[in-house]
Amino acid sequence: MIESRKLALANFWVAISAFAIAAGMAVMQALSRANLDLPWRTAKMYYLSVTAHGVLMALIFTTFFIMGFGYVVAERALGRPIAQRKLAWGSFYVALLGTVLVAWAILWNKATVLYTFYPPLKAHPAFYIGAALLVIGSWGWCWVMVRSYILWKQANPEARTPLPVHGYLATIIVWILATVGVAAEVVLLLIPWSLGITERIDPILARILFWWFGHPLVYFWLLPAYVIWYTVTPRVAGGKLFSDPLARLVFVLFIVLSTPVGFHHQFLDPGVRAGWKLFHAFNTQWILFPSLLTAFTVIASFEIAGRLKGARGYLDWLEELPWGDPAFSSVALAMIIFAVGGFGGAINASYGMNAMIHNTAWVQGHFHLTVGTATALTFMGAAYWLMPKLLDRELELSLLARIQPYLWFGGMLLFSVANHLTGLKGMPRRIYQFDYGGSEVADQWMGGTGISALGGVFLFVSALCFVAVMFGTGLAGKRAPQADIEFAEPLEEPGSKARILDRMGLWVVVAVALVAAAYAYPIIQHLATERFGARGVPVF
Amino acid sequence: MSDEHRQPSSEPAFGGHPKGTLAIVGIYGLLFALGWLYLYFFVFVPRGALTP
Repeated sequence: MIESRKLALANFWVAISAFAIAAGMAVMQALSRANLDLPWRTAKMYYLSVTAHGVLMALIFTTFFIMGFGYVVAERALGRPIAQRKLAWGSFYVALLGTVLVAWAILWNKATVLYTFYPPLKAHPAFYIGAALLVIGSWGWCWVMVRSYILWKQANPEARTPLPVHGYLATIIVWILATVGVAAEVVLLLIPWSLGITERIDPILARILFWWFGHPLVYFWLLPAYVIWYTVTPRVAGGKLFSDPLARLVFVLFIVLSTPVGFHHQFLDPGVRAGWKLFHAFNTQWILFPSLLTAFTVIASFEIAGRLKGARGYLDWLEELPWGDPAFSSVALAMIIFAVGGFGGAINASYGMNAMIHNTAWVQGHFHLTVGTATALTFMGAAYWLMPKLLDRELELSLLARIQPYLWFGGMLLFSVANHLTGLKGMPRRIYQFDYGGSEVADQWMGGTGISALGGVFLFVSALCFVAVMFGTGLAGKRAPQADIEFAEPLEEPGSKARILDRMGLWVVVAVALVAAAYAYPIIQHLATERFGARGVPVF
Repeated sequence: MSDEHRQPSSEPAFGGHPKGTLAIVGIYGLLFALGWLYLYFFVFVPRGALTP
């Protein structure tokens, strides 16, 4: 039993609760897509639900899950209690207070500004202050994790950093670098503007700062999922990690490449010169490489598991994998979906082709494959593995747990493929009346929107299964001692191989230099132009 | 429920390349490249760039 069990569980329960509310918001959107004449279906409710779904899923569910899992990783992999537990609890409550403020503002219709909160859309100050508190709470978590590592390193100066901790340190570095951008946006621009201290805001500068944060945010979600893929799933599958140094290389590449990529979200924005957009486009294409390395290493780890069970052919090891164990199937299915999502990401990041799908339904199809499945389904799989161990209870409603990943997989394929195709046909994202008053162009989208709505219903049922299993286990699971939390062993211990990959200080310096190269001059250029600013627009 | 308890005590040696993985990743890489080229030549180019 780990000492920070209550702390980890507190974070997980907030994450799961946010997931449950966000899933309810999602099904409202899905049914709206089917054009059903539902009693609560209004534009106001639609955009409120889009905002709530995005914020609760992408910011609250992920951040709290990542923090909770981080505490488990730190304590188990370092083999000592986490440092500064009071600060850890304080950070949790600060983040929770921020979450309550954000949720209140959204659900009381005072912050229908979508997950990207682009100005001049204007929210209640509580929304921005709540977001700031969430980030401050996460910074406290970062410090607890780093301090725990430093104390361990002082006691074990010659030891290699355990791989799960290496991955989490990469996550923390990416998060700190990323949140500098959004902190600047929220504290310097949005909060004073929402409080009426400043009358106008610079939307272009706000968007630059948002995407400084917004794309590396993707890797803040993804890196803990990779930690699970590398250090949990091979063991669940009955195998070993194929290569420890390759995994470390992947985490270092993400530290270096995650942040100087944000302009690929702004290819069609004014205010940023084309050369800088091209620079970010190249950086974004480079970042496909560590994900391809990850696919190779993790699949090879699964192949080891199958071969250890007797498989000898090219692909018969796939049959030996534990597809009935949701802790495995969730991750394996998440990886398959992520392969499709990676392809879409390469189109998004292609400077010319981006115009073809920019702000279309393709985009929502894409990020539901990446964060909505590669990350979220992996976290669900990790919860099936971890929650019984933390609670010392057997997994309740295990049949639902077994079918849930497959429901998610099928639903997400329907939802996302339909959105990719309608996006290619020009259907915009984030629109309530997607029939455009019955226009001929919009008629082409109708079949796709129906399929996407069906996928959304599958996803909602799957989400209900997950929430039922989690709360069922927490409240009514049979008390029974569970196996210890242990991580996958590598096929070969890293020894002293590639020790440079453990030198986080060096990689931070390289990453900061790249961020400065990618953002300093474009921001100076923008600030040097004549700017007029915009007044706020509360839509509903 | 987890398979982690059924790890073999005496493991057969795992040697050589992960040939199944290489096949899967190779096929994925091929499909990835073909998909990108298809969208480029058969969707993007016929539509034309935003600015001539």
